Amino acid sequence: MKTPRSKLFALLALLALGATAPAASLTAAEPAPKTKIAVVISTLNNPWFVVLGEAARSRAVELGYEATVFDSQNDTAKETAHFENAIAGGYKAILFNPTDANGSIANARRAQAAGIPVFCIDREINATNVATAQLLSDNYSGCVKLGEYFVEQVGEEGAYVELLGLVGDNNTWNRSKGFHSVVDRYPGLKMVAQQSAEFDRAKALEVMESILQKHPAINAVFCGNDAMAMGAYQALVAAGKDRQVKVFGFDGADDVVRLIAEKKIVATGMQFPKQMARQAAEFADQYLKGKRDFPQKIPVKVDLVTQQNVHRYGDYGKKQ
Amino acid sequence: MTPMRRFAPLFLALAAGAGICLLFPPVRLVPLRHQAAQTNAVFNAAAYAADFWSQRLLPALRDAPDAALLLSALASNAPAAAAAYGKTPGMSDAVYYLMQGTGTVCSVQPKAVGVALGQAGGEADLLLGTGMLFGNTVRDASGLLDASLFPNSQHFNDLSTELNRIVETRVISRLKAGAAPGRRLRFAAAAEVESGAEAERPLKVVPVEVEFEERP
Repeated sequence: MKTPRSKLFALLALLALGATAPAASLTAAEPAPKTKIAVVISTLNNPWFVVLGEAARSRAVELGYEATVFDSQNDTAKETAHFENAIAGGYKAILFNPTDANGSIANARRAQAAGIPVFCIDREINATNVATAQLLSDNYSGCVKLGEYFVEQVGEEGAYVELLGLVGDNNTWNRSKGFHSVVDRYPGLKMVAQQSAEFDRAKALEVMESILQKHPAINAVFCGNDAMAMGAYQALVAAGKDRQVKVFGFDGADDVVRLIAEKKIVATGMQFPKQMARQAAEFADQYLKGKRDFPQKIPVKVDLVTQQNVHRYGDYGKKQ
Repeated sequence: MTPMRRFAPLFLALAAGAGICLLFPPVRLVPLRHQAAQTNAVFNAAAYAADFWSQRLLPALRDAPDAALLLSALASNAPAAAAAYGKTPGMSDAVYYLMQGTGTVCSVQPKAVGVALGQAGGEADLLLGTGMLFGNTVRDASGLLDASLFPNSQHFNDLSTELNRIVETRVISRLKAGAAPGRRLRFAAAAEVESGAEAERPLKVVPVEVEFEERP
């Protein structure tokens, strides 16, 4: 005969069974966990890179993957930590915007050794046997066009300043060399200062303020990216020289495109970050489905955006 | 145990650590200018360009399509012309072409020579540039050089500067010296054609080989 106590136990056992059974059936119906893709970006302290990272992440999600964005904060040590986490965390592909053309090779190599494909976006690593593919803006050609337009707008005589990006990044030098391949052919155009502002708006503001103290009579400033163009423009406004000094940027960032339309900045190079990021995610998808033959370095054309054609551009690309 | 003996392992560890740091410095300071130069230290762009020019590009000109045929194909069906004769490096809506032909100089401008491909007295079909040469048209038009061959894209771009220098000194100078309205010439040229500009005439091209017929 069952005691009231044993009845209570039996009831609790039944309740427990009833509570666990649906949970168990739910677990059985859960879809398999999604394959993970890491998006490692050099810095998210610049809207252009936020767009790059987000475009890569959202395309990977559209293709059915779980994607996470990691911010290296322009620091190869932080980038290393992200790669180690991605390898340990079971990520199956890395969409990579490197911090340093040489310093980032080791990180890509770590992933390669772990069997994880790396697809570089926008910035390259100085190796052709580590990343699976590298989608790179054709910075040199873009800045050749910008240099030709610079001469048209500034004239064949004048004083100008160049703000460089990160000195360890090839984009910095490809842009600078493309620009100088044109401008240096005009001996009347004198570069009175060339300084790095590390692709950073706040640093560009600071650097430009200091340069203006020494060289108040400049005609133009060429900036290696649009964040620096915004910082330089801000310094010129504060000094009351924004109408005297012509500002040229590079990137195609929305705020600079808007200022070109308002005739406050002269020109920029549109780099199409969304196109590159989406293509990198598609490459990763193709790789994970078995494709292996990718071109190593894929240059992506840069368009010159001026006050004449700015209506055709916006939202980090060409308007449809 | 004497204090000396007690601290001996610590001293040894510190000395070993200092030795390792000397052999493998954890931090290396590189001056800005030195780093820029370093990326070019092992690549001789001028020598590579000279070799590419004589060994690969000039022989490839013999296989370039006839300029009149190419212009006609571009005007009638640009995608088919691009597929048959064009090169597109990477992701771009511009297409590069090589071409060769004969024509008559119909105008000599400050930065270009106008050439009619048909009979003398016709309008210019091509503008052979004679100004300063910039960009990658000469490097990319043959399709023989691929960015993937170069670990550092700066080297790939340095090649353009060197090839442009060769064109300016060997070809453009000859064109400028010999061009006069009515003169017949044989030429090869490279062109970058933007999407939507395929039917524009005269087409701007970069001369890569020029030979004038003897004056009668």
